Amino acid sequence: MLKTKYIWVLAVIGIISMTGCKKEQLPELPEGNDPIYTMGGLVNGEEVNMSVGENSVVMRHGISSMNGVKAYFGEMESLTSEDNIRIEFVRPEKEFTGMNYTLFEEGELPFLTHKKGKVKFDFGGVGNELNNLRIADDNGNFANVSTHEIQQYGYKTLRLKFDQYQNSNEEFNIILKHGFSDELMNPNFQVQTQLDTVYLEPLVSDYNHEWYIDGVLVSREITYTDVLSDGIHQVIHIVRDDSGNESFKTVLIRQKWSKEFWQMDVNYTDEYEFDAYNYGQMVVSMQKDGEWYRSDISSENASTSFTVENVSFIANESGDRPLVAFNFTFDAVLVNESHTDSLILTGMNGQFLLGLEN
Amino acid sequence: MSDANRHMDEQFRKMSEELQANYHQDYWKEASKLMENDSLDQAFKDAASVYTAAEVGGIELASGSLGDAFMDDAFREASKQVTIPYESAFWNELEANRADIEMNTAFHQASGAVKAQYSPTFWGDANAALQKEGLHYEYKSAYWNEARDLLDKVDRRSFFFRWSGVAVLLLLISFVGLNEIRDDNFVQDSRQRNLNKTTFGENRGNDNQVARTEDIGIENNSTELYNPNSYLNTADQNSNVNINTQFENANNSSPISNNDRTELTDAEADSDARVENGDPTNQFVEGPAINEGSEEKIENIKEEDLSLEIAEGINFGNHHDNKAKSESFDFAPLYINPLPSSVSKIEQKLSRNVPFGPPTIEKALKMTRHNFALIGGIGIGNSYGFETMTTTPRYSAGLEYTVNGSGALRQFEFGVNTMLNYSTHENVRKEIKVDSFLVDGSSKNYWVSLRVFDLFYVNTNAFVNYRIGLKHKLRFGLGVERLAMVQSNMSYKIGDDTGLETVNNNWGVKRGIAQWDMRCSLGYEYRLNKKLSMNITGAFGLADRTANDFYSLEPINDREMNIMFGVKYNLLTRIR
Repeated sequence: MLKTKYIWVLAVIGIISMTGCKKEQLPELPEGNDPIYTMGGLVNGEEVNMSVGENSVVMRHGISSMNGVKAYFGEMESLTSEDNIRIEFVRPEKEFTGMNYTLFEEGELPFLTHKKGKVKFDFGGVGNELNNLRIADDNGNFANVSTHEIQQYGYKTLRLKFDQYQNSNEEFNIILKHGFSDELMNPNFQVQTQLDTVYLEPLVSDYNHEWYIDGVLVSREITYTDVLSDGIHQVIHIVRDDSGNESFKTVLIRQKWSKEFWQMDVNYTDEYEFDAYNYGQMVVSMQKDGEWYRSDISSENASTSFTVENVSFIANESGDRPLVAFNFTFDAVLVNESHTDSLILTGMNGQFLLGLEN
Repeated sequence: MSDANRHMDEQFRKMSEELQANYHQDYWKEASKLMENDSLDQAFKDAASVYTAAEVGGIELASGSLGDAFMDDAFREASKQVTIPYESAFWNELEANRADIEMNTAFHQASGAVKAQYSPTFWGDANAALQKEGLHYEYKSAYWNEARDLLDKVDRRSFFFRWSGVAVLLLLISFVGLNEIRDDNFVQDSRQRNLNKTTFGENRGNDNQVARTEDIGIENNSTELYNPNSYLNTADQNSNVNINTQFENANNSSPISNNDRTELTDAEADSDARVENGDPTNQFVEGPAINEGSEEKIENIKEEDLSLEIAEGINFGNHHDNKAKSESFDFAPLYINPLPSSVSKIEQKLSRNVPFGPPTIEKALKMTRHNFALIGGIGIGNSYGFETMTTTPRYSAGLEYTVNGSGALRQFEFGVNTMLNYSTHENVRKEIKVDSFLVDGSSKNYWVSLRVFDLFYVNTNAFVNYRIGLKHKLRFGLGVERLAMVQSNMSYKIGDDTGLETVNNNWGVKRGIAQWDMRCSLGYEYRLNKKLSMNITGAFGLADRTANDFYSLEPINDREMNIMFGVKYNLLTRIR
């Protein structure tokens, strides 16, 4: 009887101890999958493979600026090394059709390869104004030049100063679209003055217009008419279609003695040949051992192309940052900024992702 | 025909002529055959010397040279001198008393070469003694037939071979200290001694079992002497007294007068048992060697003692180990008891509440012992997860039930036990890393680290014990095991928004551990006393305890293997 009691006591102790113990189940984990975005190929003959999500490789994506021109980029970045690869797609002139992105279709896309351009300035009948014009170089030093050489495609902002002006140190900016001429969206406009009144009229009026004078939005009408004070004024005309595609044009005008004194026009010289229209082209960059190599500064890529397949627009997790994914293959030559080294990419392929918004 | 016989033949022929009787040569041949007995020859010689030396002066019969052929002449010469006519009836009378004369001569020799004969009159004395004690029962010749059937040659042969095998096995495993080898040949030896008219000298030094064997059947198969108290007399040297007493009683019953009876003296026998004169019946029944030992034993014997030994087999040869006998009841009589059930009833009267009862073979072998015990063990076993053998501790505890076999399986025990087995391990680890790659270029990484270190299995075993000695058993078992509990440490990170979570001493994870297993075991058990036994058991499982794919292990097979040193404590025993 006593032994039976002991057994019961032990059993109760056992039950209490068992029920009092921590019992946490193994967390339920989702099914894993293989990496989606990868890149593989030969770099200078050596095989390179990168997979997003493995080996501390992450994918960054968004909108970048290629010399002032909007571009969509995706970049596989290794958090443990400085070996990164980046693909940029320079936006098309018209990005949207209706409410949808129209970036590229399956096929071959050209590599963007920069070419120089040289512009000269025309002040109409005021020929000596060139003597007063000083343009800042890449180092920010203003100099009186009659022409200006543009090294790469893009939207180039010229910083100008005019001597013999009421405030000769006042700086004016003008944006040159080197290699990105407006063919689908024409923002050009005419400037007419009558006494102190200026009349701004777009060459194409089928857009939504915005008129900015000296950085101030003065009108969203197709045309703009108003009195301008004496001085040099920056006029920006932005046109935007219903889908959101837009373009702009920047012009400097000078009022003097209450009438138009000059309108500065920018024209290319014949010294360099270049492609005037470079929207919708690819740029591949790769960081190797901490140094960037780019395809757009290697003229060898002008004859090659970037093949795109399986293009798909997807919404990212938050839903407000659309993405475009595609499969690709390409060969390219990337050179560093100093053009002293290059990477030869052969048989590169994989699946990549570009962000369409930041 | 020898010269002596030829001469005897001629003498008888002359006698027939003188007596005008028909005599034929075959008469003498037949008589000669009957006389070809050394004892009888010696008896004649002695008889002749008595008549000639004591009462017939001048006639010398040299016993060494006087042959049977001169006996008739001697009788005639003697008859002339004492004027007693010789009659052939003298010979017949002498022939009729031949056994007594032989007995007398044998007692005279009084050395080790005693040739005892049992007389049916012995039983009369013993019967009278039993009647006086209220223990009377009628003996029937069928008793012996029944006993003889039980002890037929087939049983003895199988018994001999079986125990001889056990003896060999004991020798082989003597390294573990087995020192209690049973005397397997005891019964056969005893019976053989009976048939060979075992001498008193051989009986000296033997224990009571030998004595009882002598009691049961001496020479004359048609008559048996049974003293039920002898079954209770377990361990004293006075057993020999029984023998002496009985033979003296036999002498008292013999036709030879008490004056001629030679007193038996046994220096090693108890002096109290020596009987010179007096009432032999009282001596037989009231002998101290019988009653004292038996009564004491009746008081001391407990139910468990008796049943234990019944269950563990009959102890035949452990008669020199007084300690062992003090712990257990000697059941040698069970094998040699030739008595019928009527005798058993007498013993039931003696001890109504003591189930050792009449030790008949049938009943003893049918008695079953149910035993419940607590068992526990400690040992070592293989640590899971290693490719090489690494050991870790093992512990176990549980309950056990056993029941002894019967009949041909009386050397076996059958049982079941339920145990909780604990084992600890060092390399059962799991690291789960799940990468979920999303289409937006992001990925989610899930990470879980698990280390299992304690396992508890509930085990139910069926086993068979085989007794290889009074205290030694071999065990083979087969059981089923079910995973009961697993203790582990766990850390995990299952989201970008959550930090690292750690749960130590967790009992909630059993994944990757085999839920079921089977276990085979082989062990050895040594009984320390009635309550405690020690054992050593080796066991191995049949299933891979760890899922290699889950624990990312090499293709190793983590079968349970262990060696346990255990203790068994008997909680209770029931005998039916």
